Amino acid sequence: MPNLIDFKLIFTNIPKLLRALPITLEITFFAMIIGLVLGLLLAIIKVNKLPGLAQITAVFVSFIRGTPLLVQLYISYYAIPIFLKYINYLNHTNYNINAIPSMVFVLLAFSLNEAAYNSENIRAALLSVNKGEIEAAKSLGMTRWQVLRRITIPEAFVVALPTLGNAFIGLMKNTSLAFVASVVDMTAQGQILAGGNYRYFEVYLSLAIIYWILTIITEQILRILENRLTLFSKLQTQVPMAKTHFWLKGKWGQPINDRHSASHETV
Amino acid sequence: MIDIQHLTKRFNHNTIFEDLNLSIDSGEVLGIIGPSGAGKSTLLRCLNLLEEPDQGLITIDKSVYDVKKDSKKQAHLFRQQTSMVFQQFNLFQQKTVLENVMEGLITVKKLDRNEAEKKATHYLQAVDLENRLNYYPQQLSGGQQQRVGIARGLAMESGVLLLDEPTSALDTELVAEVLNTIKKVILNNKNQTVIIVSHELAFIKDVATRVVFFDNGGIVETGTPDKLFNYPEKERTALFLSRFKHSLKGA
Ligand SMILES: Nc1ncnc2c1ncn2[C@@H]1O[C@H](COP(=O)(O)OP(=O)(O)OP(=O)(O)O)[C@@H](O)[C@H]1O
Ligand SMILES: [Mg+2]
Repeated sequence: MPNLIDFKLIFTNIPKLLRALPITLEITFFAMIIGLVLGLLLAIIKVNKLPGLAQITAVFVSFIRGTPLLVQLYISYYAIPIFLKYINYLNHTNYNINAIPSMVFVLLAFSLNEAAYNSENIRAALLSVNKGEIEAAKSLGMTRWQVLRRITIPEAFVVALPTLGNAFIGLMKNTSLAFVASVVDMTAQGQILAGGNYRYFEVYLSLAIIYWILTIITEQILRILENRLTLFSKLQTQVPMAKTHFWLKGKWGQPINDRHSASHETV
Repeated sequence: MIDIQHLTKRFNHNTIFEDLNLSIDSGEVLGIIGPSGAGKSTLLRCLNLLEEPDQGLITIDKSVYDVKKDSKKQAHLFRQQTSMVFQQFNLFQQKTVLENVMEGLITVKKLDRNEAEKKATHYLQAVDLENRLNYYPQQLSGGQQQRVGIARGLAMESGVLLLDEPTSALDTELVAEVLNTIKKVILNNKNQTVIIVSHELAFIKDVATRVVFFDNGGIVETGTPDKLFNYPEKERTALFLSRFKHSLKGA
């Protein structure tokens, strides 16, 4: 059985597949950047419990988390053109909806999906920032926005980095679903290749190797970044605990120092 | 000049103090003492609006904050009238000692980096930390961290320094080092108004120009250190002080 596996093909496939790498990376980076910015915005809305917006955000995140990414891609691909056609009809306009590149629907679906998941991680990270540092920044006279930009977000970023890194890796692999919107990413490119020579197994092995290597590279970059950022962060050493004197006991016996930090405080 | 009029603070239905009135002259060193839970921290935090008072009027020099009229959005402007030193230091962990002190100078006072660095270095010298400029907070002892906190407050040159139990989170052997720094700061600048909440009664007796005894609901008694510590008028004051007889001896 000489022809069961063509080992050479596994490797000669790789350069051909890599031609579609820019598409894969484009979706990944675009969705991650939008996902971070929008995710941060949603997280701030949630943390500050902005009336109205917080409820909309909650429904949005719940929907994204409660439905498969594949279904979201289909909805973006089919439902949005229908919606736009309806707008055309309502306004008696005649924009050519078919002219919208399918990449747009893919980027939209991935970005929103990423934003929803990131918002949960970023929210947790924002809440983990030491309230004392936020108070110190406020007491200097910084505006809410300055406190957020100079203190809260940089501190939260360090905390969120590992989970955001995981999200990035997950996203990179999920881009292989883009084919449903007829965008030719690496995986779609592989299917086209295999469609020509019926060597599906080899092509999928080639793809697996490429995704795996990409993931390893990303992990290494993240590790370097984490090491730099957490060098002196509070993750490394404990903030010295306050001593508890008899007169420092709160009403219920907890150290009084914990009380202010426990008071609910908006970011 | 600080003028507090009719200040009221509640947490839900728990009234911490009501209709509190207090005037503090420029250059005064006001010591606030009192039992735990009396509301001393809450009062200091109301002065820089880290707690939102429920009622009242706070005037610091020419700035007035009227709880009823002024919106929370103005809080950051009013906060520039005072500088706070925290019990837990609250240094920015990701910033170096120098950056901690420069932060407010750059973002709030809008100094350029060079000026900010010069000023920050000056105040770090004043607390004897000029050889720790590029350390991170976690590389410092608690006493050193608190001295950075003091420099950070002083550098804003607000004229009013608020200290909330600045040494109670410190190990005993580090307390003196920070108290000495505070004393030095007070002696160096006669115009600096200082309000200090502390259980270090001997220290308060030493540095304060006036002492307030604070207990549930507000100010019980106020007077010079000599009068308040040696000849308290109110029974509650005497009772409180009797618990500290031991530590006050020889002060
Ligand atoms: N954020 C908060 N929410 C609810 N109650 C609070 C809050 N902060 C303080 N309190 C209550 O207010 C009262 C006064 O507290 P405060 O911390 O001002 O006392 P203190 O005089 O500084 O005491 P200590 O000497 O122990 O520091 C206490 O009964 C406390 O339980
Ligand atoms: Mg207190």
